[in-house]
Amino acid sequence: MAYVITGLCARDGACAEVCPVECIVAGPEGDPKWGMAYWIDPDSCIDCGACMAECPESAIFPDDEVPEEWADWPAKNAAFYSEGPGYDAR
Amino acid sequence: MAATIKDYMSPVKPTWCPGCGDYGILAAVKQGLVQAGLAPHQVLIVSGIGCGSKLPDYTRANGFMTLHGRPLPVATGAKLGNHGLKVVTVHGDGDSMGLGMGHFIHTARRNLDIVDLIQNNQIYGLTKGQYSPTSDPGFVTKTSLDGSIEVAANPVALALTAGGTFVARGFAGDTKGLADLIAQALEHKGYALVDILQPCVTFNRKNTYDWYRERVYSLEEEGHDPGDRLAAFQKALEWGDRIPLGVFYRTQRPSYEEQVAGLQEGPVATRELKPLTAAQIERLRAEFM
Repeated sequence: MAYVITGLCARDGACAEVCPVECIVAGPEGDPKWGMAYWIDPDSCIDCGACMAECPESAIFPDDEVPEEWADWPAKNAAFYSEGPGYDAR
Repeated sequence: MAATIKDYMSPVKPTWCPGCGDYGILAAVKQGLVQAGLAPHQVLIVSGIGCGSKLPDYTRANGFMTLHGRPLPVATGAKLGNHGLKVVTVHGDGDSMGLGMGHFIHTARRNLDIVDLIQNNQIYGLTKGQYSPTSDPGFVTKTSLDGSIEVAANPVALALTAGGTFVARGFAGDTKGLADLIAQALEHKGYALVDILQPCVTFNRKNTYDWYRERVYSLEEEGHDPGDRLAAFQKALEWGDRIPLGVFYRTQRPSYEEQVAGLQEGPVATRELKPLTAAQIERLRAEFM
């Protein structure tokens, strides 16, 4: 289980502020691959839902409730940390 | 085959508030159990009453929710009934330091082989925000309008004086560090306390994640010797600008159930039930006549 940020993200950043385990990082601004969103590290997420409650765009979902059109976003969130800049972008 | 986090996943979803420290504790408990190589059927988690005491329902380990303040007596009975079981208690600061304070002291003193996890958020969350035994002096709540006028109970210092053989403190915002402490506590033979500092995002607006992050530091990184009981006690008294996390004290002495003569043949729960022989019945009768 983990929460997932989807393509609805407008880079508000409230999610990263409330995350109790600081596992949400902004994609570097302007980066064509990662810059459009914030990303949740699925390995550190504790499923508390604070980010989902805070998100003004309702862009965050539990990974088993991600809408069909964002079906590849759970993998994208994970990839930001395994292949992308991950915590170094902080 | 070694157990994984998936083996501990329960179909029941937590009802805690978004951002509650209990989520971090739940994640760390599951991770710690896996790290210690324990499978769900080998573990009993006993809780009391409180938000955090719902935790056993959110794992697949055996669970027992008791009365407020009473998880330790139930855990003691369970351990004596089946000392092959790994028994973990999980309860809040109200449960452990309020009604359960006497049980806490005696369980530590007896060195019963259990892991005692205290979800310490310095407030009664389930009943909507009254000050608790671990609230800092001056803490304003619905029942302490001018600020608490009591000295806060200190689980770490109390466990040290009572004779606890593993005394540690973790932080719900540091899941990995907490899981590691829980794994060490599970591997310890004897009474093991992990006092867990935990924000209550709804009713405690003082001791927040940020408040803790500015203050906590690692005992290990500062070279604290966990074999030194006096140094551990000094560290236990440190609170305010700097708050120590990690293992305060660790020692070895025989655990309670190890010394109970009647348990030497193995756990009562797994012994074969045999009818008494005529000679045994005669001996029993003679004792009462």
